[in-house]
Amino acid sequence: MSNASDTTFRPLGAILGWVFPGLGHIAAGNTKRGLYAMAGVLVLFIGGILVGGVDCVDRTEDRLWFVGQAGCGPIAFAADFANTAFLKSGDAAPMIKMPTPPGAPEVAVSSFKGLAHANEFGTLFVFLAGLLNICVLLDAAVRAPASDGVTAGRRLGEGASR
Amino acid sequence: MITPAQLACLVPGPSVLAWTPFLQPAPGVQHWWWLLVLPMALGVAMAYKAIRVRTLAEWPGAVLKMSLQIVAAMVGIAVGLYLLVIVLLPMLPAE
Repeated sequence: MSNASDTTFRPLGAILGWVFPGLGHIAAGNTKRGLYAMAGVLVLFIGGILVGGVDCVDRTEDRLWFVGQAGCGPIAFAADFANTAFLKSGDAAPMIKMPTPPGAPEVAVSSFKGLAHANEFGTLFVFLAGLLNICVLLDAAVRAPASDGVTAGRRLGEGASR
Repeated sequence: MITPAQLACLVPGPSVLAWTPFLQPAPGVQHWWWLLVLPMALGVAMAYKAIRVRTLAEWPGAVLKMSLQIVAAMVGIAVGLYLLVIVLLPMLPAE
């Protein structure tokens, strides 16, 4: 029988946590904790897409941001795919030619492209969702299964911030 | 001080009718971007406290407390930077 101080590393918990936020906890029997973590990550992820549009997840133009955003798992890659498939292709909205220096190749962007604060906050929200999901999936890998109700014992540093 | 034009952007108006959520950026964000610190603080606190609290009964209170701490810290930094840039720096000699 396991307890809350069990710190065995379970890679499957981390993998499931990456597949979908909170799934690692849910699969291990910590359903409520998983749902709470899922809610937090999805508030940031969906909020970011809502504020900035799918343009705020861009694997090619914002590569460094995407490294963090990829922590959300397949949903981040799906958002990037939607950006390419609907916005960059011109399917969702007309493309606008951008002013370029003489002789430079012509550049066109979607008229739905996010600019300034909308794009900045959308990108930041999804980035934070990715970073927090990495914390969540690491927790899923070390937290004892079915320990939601356990109060005796705790992992190193747990509860120290209260 | 919020101007009437900015206030109009907070209330969904006719421009929202043409908005395609998730494809287009949200309308009016340029005017009320600073309010986004509230959902950001809430989301961060929700996810972080879900893995930090010992018992889940503590979660709602811990989320509220951490959200307020984040917002207070952001406001504090904003006030500090305002004082630095608008009050202190202009007091320095030009040369």
